Amino acid sequence: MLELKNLEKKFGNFVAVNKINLKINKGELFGFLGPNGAGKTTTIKMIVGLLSPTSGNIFLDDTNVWLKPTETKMRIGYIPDQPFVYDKLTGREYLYFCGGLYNLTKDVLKTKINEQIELLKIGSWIDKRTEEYSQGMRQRIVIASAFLHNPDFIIVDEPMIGLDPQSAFLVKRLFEEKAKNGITIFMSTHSLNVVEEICTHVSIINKGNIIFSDTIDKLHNLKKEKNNNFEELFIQLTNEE
Amino acid sequence: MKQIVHILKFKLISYIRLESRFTFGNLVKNLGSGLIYFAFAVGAFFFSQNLIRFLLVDINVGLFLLHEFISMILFIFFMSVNLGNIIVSYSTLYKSNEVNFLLTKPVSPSKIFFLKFLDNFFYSSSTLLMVLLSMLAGYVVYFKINVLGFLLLLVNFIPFMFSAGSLGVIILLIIIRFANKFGMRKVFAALGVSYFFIIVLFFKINSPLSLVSSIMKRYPFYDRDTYLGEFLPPIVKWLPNNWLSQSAYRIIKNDIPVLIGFTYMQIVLSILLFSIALYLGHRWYFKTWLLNSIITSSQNANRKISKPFFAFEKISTLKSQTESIIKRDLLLFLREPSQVIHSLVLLFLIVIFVLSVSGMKFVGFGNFYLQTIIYLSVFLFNLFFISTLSLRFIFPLISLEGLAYWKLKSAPVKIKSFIKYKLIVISSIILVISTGLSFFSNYKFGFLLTIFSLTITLFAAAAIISINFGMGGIFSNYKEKNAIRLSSSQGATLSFLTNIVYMLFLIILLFKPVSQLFLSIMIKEYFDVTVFLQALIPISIISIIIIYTYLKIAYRSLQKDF
Repeated sequence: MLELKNLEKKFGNFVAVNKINLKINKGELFGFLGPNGAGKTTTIKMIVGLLSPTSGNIFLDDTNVWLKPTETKMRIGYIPDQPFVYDKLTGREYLYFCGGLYNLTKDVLKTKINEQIELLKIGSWIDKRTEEYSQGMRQRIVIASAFLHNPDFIIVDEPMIGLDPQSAFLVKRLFEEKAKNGITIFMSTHSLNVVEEICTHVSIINKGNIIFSDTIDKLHNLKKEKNNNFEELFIQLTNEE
Repeated sequence: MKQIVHILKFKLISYIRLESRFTFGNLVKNLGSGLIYFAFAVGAFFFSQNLIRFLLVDINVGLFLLHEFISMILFIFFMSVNLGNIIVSYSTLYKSNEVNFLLTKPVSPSKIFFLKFLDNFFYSSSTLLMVLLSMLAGYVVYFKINVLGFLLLLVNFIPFMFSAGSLGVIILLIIIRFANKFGMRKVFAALGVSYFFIIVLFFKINSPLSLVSSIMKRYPFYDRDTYLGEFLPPIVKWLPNNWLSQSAYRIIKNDIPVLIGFTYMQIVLSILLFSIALYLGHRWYFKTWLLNSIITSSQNANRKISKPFFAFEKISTLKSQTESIIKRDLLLFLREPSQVIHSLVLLFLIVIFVLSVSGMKFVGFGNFYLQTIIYLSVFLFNLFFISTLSLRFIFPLISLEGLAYWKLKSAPVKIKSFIKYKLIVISSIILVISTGLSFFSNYKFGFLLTIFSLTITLFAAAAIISINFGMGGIFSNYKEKNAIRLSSSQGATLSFLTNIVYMLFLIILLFKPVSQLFLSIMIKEYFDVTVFLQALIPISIISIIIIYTYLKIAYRSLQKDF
């Protein structure tokens, strides 16, 4: 279980994330919705260790992420919104590098990399330098790198940016399958369609505050009650704040 | 023109805003920077005064030889600015995102060329400019030159700098044109070889040793303060570095008509080179920009991925994390041409230096003071080499993690281990080179001095490496991919100045033991080894404090939000 307790992040006087509380259970495909600048990426960066929280705690199965970073990072796979990789390495070299950081052996890595090439349809691009890749291909390599060490938790920031419809379809099916296998996926997005299509639970963040957090069914009910479509409901919720 | 002013205005606004974000950290950083810059400027000022005094009073070289030495230093300076401008211009004119952005707007490529020319001229030359201006001030004060004389020196100096910069850009434009026909590697290799031969040729034609000995042979029949142009090879008189040193000489001699001649030639040359640069930029810049894109993409398309002996797939005895980070760094280094070329150039310089100093023994025998000065100068040169290597290869280490640093930061890698993996290879190489430098410049001085110098050098190398690593952390810029730009940035300059402060501290502490050793050898008396310990103890303590402090600084900077 991933738990955020009174998590806060301030940049100077600006409160990016305002003491939020969230619980994400095992096997959930958790959609983290919000408009631009709502605090989604900041929250995610605090979970994966890129930003330090101003206050509050993050627990991964009762282990404090910031007190035992090495231990908890072993269990997390992170896919950022911008797929920055090393330009001068090939996709395969990059994956070997990433696997090595998680202490994977060469044999395991070789098998895992071949699986990911197949699964994400990377093909012969794997042996080209990443400087030649399109945004979508870089994203696939980054996704592959996040799954190499069999993480229990996948933290994804805006996964569909830069992906063509074919790749987006591939990634959605991949996440659904992983969630079915008991892997917890925490996914930030502002794509309402993606949330409606694959998520089991949803939270909406706006101006650093959680304004809705429940199952996708509850959100559907709310939508029906208000007789709105999803898009209008989202605008209404985020404007009410 | 209106468009250029408009763009310059916004560039200036963004620069000022970037530099003036008011936080306590920034305040400390800027105050520290200002203090180090100031201290360094003052240091360069007094150093130049003392050096002139030493050459004129202690060694009695005379005004003519002094200005010929200055001319030689100016030649090296001209070549450095010139070469620096070629390297920096390549990234600013052909690889910059700002150029990509401006080219999509209705701004003519000629204007972009002009803007970027100014940009990189000041970027690549600012540190050298500061050093030289401080030394110039020392020169002015030593010779009691009045304000008008100082202004006249500046009127000569600024066009000299501008000529070096303009020539660099002209060469770059020609290189790109040729690269299309002969390939980038061949052209750059030819350029490197040409620069090497130009420098060798210059010192072959204008050898300081031959010049000094030919003048000394005729002494006392010549006044060493008068102009002895007949001793100079004719071609040297046509070089702008000689015009500048001659202008300085004529200011001291109050020989205004000749001074005006040199000033005129200096200004005309700079206008001519700047006009050629602008003309070629107008004609060729966009063409060469397109050519460069074609060359780069065809290089990518034709590239065959070869697997080096340390390929990731190969089994290694190292731990997974160690292996991953070391192999990644090696691959990224070897696949970046500028890194490889710079390493080879520096390696070549080290070999030349080692060959020159390895035969040195008791130069200045009979004068222990002069011998100490020469010994410490060589020692200082060793430290400068170590500092240059560290600045070039250690300072950018953290920044070169780049925007892809998210992967390491979100991976289960401890920062302490990360620092260890990052430093182990390059530090080992620098330490080995330092040991070699120290050994070859000392072994003829006997066992005691060799061991003493080796110990001090190792402490110094470790401290200099740590300073550069820590400063690289403070001034980390993950957006900058170019190691050369990183090692010539404001932060790198400060790091270099900090190195110099530390090196001066070493020289001050070493003066007494080294001079006492040489004195005891000269008068054949027993030398008390504890004199060495009196220097070694404070040096080792301060070095260890520096190593600890700067590694801690690097650790803190790696902990920062990303």
